[in-house]
Amino acid sequence: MGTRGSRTHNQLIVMAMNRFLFPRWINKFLPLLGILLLAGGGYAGTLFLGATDPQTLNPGYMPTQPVPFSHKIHAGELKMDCRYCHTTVEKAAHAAIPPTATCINCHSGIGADGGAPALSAVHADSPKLRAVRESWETGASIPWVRVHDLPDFVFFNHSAHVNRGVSCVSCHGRIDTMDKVYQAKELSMAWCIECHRNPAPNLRPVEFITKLDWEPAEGEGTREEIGQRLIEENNIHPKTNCAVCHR
Amino acid sequence: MQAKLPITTAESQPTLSVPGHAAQAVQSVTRASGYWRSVGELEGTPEFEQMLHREFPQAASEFPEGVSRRRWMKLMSASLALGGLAGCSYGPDSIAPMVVRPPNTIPGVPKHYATNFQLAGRAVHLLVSNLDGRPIKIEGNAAHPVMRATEPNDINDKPRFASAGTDVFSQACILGLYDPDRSSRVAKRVDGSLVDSSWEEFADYAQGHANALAESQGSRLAILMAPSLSPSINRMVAETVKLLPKTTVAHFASIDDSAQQTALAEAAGKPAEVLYDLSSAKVICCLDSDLLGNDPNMLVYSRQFARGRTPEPGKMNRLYAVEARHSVTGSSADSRLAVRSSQIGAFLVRLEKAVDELLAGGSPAVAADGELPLDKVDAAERLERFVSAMAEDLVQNRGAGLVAVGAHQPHDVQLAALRLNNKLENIGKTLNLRPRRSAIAGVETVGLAELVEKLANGVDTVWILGDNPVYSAPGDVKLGETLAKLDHVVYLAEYEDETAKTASWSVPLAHALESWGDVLGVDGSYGVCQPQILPLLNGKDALEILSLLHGKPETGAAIVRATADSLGQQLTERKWRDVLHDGYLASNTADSITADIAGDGPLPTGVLNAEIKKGELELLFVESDTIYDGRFAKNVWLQELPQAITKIVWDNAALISFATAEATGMKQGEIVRLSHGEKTLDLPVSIVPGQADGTIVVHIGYGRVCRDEAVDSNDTVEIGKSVSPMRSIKNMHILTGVEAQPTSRPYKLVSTQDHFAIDDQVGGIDQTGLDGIKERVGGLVREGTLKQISEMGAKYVEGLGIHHPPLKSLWDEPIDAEETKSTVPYQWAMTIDLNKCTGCNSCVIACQAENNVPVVGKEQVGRGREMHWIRVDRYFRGEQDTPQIVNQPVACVHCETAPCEQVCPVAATVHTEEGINAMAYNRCVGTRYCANNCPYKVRRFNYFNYGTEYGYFYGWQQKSKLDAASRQLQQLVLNPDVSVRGRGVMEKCTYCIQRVQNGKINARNEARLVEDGEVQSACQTACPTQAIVFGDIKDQSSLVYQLQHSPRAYAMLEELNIKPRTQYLIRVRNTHPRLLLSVQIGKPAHGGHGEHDAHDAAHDEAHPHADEQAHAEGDEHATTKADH
Repeated sequence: MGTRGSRTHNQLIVMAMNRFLFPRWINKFLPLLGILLLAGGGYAGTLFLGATDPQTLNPGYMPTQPVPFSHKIHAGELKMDCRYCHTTVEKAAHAAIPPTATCINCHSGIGADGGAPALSAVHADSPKLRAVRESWETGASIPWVRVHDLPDFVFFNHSAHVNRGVSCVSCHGRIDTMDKVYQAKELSMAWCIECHRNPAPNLRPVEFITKLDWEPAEGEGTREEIGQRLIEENNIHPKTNCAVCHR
Repeated sequence: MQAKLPITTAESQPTLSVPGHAAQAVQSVTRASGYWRSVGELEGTPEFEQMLHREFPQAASEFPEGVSRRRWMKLMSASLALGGLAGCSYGPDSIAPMVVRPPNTIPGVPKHYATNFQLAGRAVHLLVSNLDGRPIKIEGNAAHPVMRATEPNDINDKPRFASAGTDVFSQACILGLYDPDRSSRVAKRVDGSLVDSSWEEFADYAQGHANALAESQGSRLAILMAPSLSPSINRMVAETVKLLPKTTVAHFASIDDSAQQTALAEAAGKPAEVLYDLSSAKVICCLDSDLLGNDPNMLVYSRQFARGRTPEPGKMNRLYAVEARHSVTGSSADSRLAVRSSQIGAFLVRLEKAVDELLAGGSPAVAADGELPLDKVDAAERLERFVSAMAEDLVQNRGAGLVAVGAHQPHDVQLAALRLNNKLENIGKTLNLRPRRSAIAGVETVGLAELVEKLANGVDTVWILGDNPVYSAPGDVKLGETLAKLDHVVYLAEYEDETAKTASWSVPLAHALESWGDVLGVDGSYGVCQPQILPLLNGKDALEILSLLHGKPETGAAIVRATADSLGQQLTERKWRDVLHDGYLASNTADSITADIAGDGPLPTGVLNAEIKKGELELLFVESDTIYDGRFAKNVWLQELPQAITKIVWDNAALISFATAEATGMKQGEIVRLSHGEKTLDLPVSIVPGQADGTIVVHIGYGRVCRDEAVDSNDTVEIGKSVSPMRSIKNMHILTGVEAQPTSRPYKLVSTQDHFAIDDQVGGIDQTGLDGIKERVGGLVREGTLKQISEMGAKYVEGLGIHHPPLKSLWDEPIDAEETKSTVPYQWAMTIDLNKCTGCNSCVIACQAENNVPVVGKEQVGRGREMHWIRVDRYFRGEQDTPQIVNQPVACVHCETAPCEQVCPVAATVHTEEGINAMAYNRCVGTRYCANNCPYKVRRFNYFNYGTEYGYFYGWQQKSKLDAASRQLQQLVLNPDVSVRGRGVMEKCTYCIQRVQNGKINARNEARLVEDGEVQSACQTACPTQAIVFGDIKDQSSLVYQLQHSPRAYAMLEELNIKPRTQYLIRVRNTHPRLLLSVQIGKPAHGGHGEHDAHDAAHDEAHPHADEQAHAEGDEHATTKADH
């Protein structure tokens, strides 16, 4: 047994450790700490879910294109049909980006000899169209940036939709009002399935699929009613099983 | 009565868990259904049991080992890059539209172009799917006249089912197109090694060369080539000879048929080849002849054969196989007899004698009362009965029979076979002599030995037209050494291979899909090979390079066009385009030659003798089912394709019978040293039941030393062992007097035969499980004789299944109520006709190409991780010396109440309204419960990122080393319509869902329903015999509906009440009554129901469950019954 004043090694350690312990009165704040953690977790979770929601992530994506092509001018003001350029939309999975030749139909540059071009030459010397003319001359593709980009394990087929009467506008929004194209809709799985479960609001007579501002005429009923009629007439029963889109 | 115990092999596995286990296993084989899959199963080795009872094979979750990983990953670089395209990266993605889109081009929609070329000696007529300018899939050209004439199914009212089918090589050759290790440079030898050169430099060299050669009239020039079916190649060679008359032209094929060609030429009076017509043959006798397997015309023959397999008396042909090895033809045969290759001549003499007796008015031998089945008698009587049955059938079917001998058989055997066919009036009917397509007009060719002799004496310039002869030349011809001494060796080849190392110029050949060329089909019709893509790697086609030899360069296109003009009387441009479009010039078919065959001649010598003498064994060299003569050694799809009978992958082995193993002390999985004279060869041993005793079969094509340039190293690796040194120019295929010295060195051969064994004996202990399997295999793979099927029909087929009480479903059915609604117009289903399946493996490679199935390597296959979505199960049946083989392709059967779907915790595998069991890869979390619960074992798990990190050939070492360009090149082989799966994801057959969906969308866009036959799965289109039929069973007029309601249809494991959508059609053997095996005799022998006639009424509720114990005796009763 040690004498008073001379402490054992262990006692020294205990004393030393006590300096690092919280005083007891702190304990009554412990519930508060718990509440803070819960609230923080909730906040972080909400933030995470909100931030990663397709509605947050997807719409509004607006990359800069190599040619400042304006759908507003072409499809909106000039009222060109979507299918003038996107020719394969009714026939194939891809609504193909038009070849340079399609642009050149109207925008051929000054002829090689400096004289008149072979085709019509709208804005023949516009600097904005330089990439188009270069592509035409060199044979290199114009490197367009994909705006509506689905994951690689999703197989979407344009022809299957437009031939049933699903308009471009349902997935792409009012392209005819966009100077610079951006993603207008979520294009998420939940969003797709919503329509596959109830396609009626997105159906219209096939002749109006590229008329983006189409509204039912007076007396024809609502979109829903027209959609319901088309479902029955054309036997439209979209499926929601995985294999419809995932292969 | 019992099978002999395989003593030697049992000794090799001394650690049997149950005493007397092997004996029990053997007994239960013969007592129960008589089916077994492998030696391991027959003997009940621990490895087999482990494979059977673990959910995944041992160490399935362990990482690969260092050494072997390195080795197998670094092999070659012909590779499959399954990665990079997939994933959920949302980074910026660019779209590069064409500047001018050609007419009728729709981005993302494949175009199909007809083409024809020669592949491994076969003329193939193909339709290539070309997606956005790159070939991605190969199908047969169903419109080709040869294919139309051999349509296997009666499809008059269903033209959409017109089929062609392909062989494995055609399916797999597309992988070679995107192989970055193909030769991409013109190289010349400077100071003993090849250095970079250029086309210009080579053209200059060739021009000077041409001038120099002209001075000597070509006496210094030799051309070494394989016999070519291409009229343009042959014309270019003929023109060379015209320009330089003293040129030597040498023909060398690694698969030697010179004896047959000589015999045929003697009979025909000019170069000839043989073309059989199996569709009009009622009796087909294949003597060491693999007509349905390795024969160059196997596609045509398989289709013709399948035509004659309608299982109705009088309509069905009968196939006899007398052969040394167990071939694909042997597995399809109605009766098979094992005879050594060197004794085929003696067998033929016996057969001819028997035929002579019958023709002279003798009466056929009849079965004595109480005659034992074929497998219960001794070898001599077996032979006797075989000969008499064959002779009887051949004589009864004069003019509709056929005796075909293998092309490697010697001259006197060939002549004897022709003579016999002549006696039987078969010539001109089932056997036609045709002008030899590879003959070069006006050119006398020499053999390889003569060429080498000439090379030593004055000829100093050699042009070698591909095919790597230095590797495949037999050991006694020192081709490589001779070439290495010469200064002017020009080698045209796709790879810088063994031959390139001896050449002074290595010139890159374009792939057949990049080349202009042509080929003559079996009917003599002219077909053009049109390039599907510009050469990716700097190659040029052979024609263009050959024109340099003439000193006047031309393009391949011009040369082919000139050939076509010369054949087709100056084709107009329009007609030429038709030829390109259709793929053939039909007007050009050749007529058969009328042969003049002597009534008698020298008889083949030799005695029939099955005695096994240790130093007097016989070595039979055969081309590999998968990599042919080694030219596909770099094609990893083919390397990983299980060989037809042995199911061995990534290796060759010395294949022997049980008795040979017993007599010589060779053991399964141990290395044996084979020696002949001074030459020796070490090979691992594998036992193949039913092979001729005393014969050792080895596959050629292995042991290729592969340059590993893609990883920028000097590593070389060998796959298997080269057997070329043992071959000699006189004995290219059959070598007698071989000694076998077993060593005790073990070697790990990897085969897939025990993987995914179906163990439906739930909860059984080992032996019970094994017995369960043996009893039940007869229910899985069903077969019967023609008599049984035609007399009992569906009752027989049902009787083979498990008797069970009336099935009550666990579920409310249909599980998906949508199925019955009118809004769901289709219910997809498949049938596989076991009677037509020859086990050729085309479906396996077709599925791999269509569905981006990765290659995993030998080590991973050894762990049971192979990824093939469809496998061809091979079952042996009967006694070990006289087994029959049944092949059964198994892919996901798409159960209505699928067990996999019930256990998936994340609903990643779900049922569609149309009855397809779908996989959502992006949802799968990799629990593998589904694979565990699948009774068919058809689910495959990605243990690694086989595309990017492991597999071929993207191991972690390579990952950084393979340059981005090579990677991108490899990825071009991927089908963009199918997701590429990553690590931790389960996958399986989807019924080619991408084809189904696209078919539906196309039909819908045209406002109609999908027509029957419009959607065909990849395995179906590749199947040469149309054994696989896919379609909609909601449409009662569909072919698949009719087949599923045929009396031959059955569902595998129907007693589990899981209602598989894929059904099988029972295999029917049209065996001669005197050649029946004991397993073939009697009523349904499986499970012992044979003697219970009451049970023949299937689902007889009065006897809901038969006593399983009683079943074991069934066969013994059946054998003594002998009701024929």
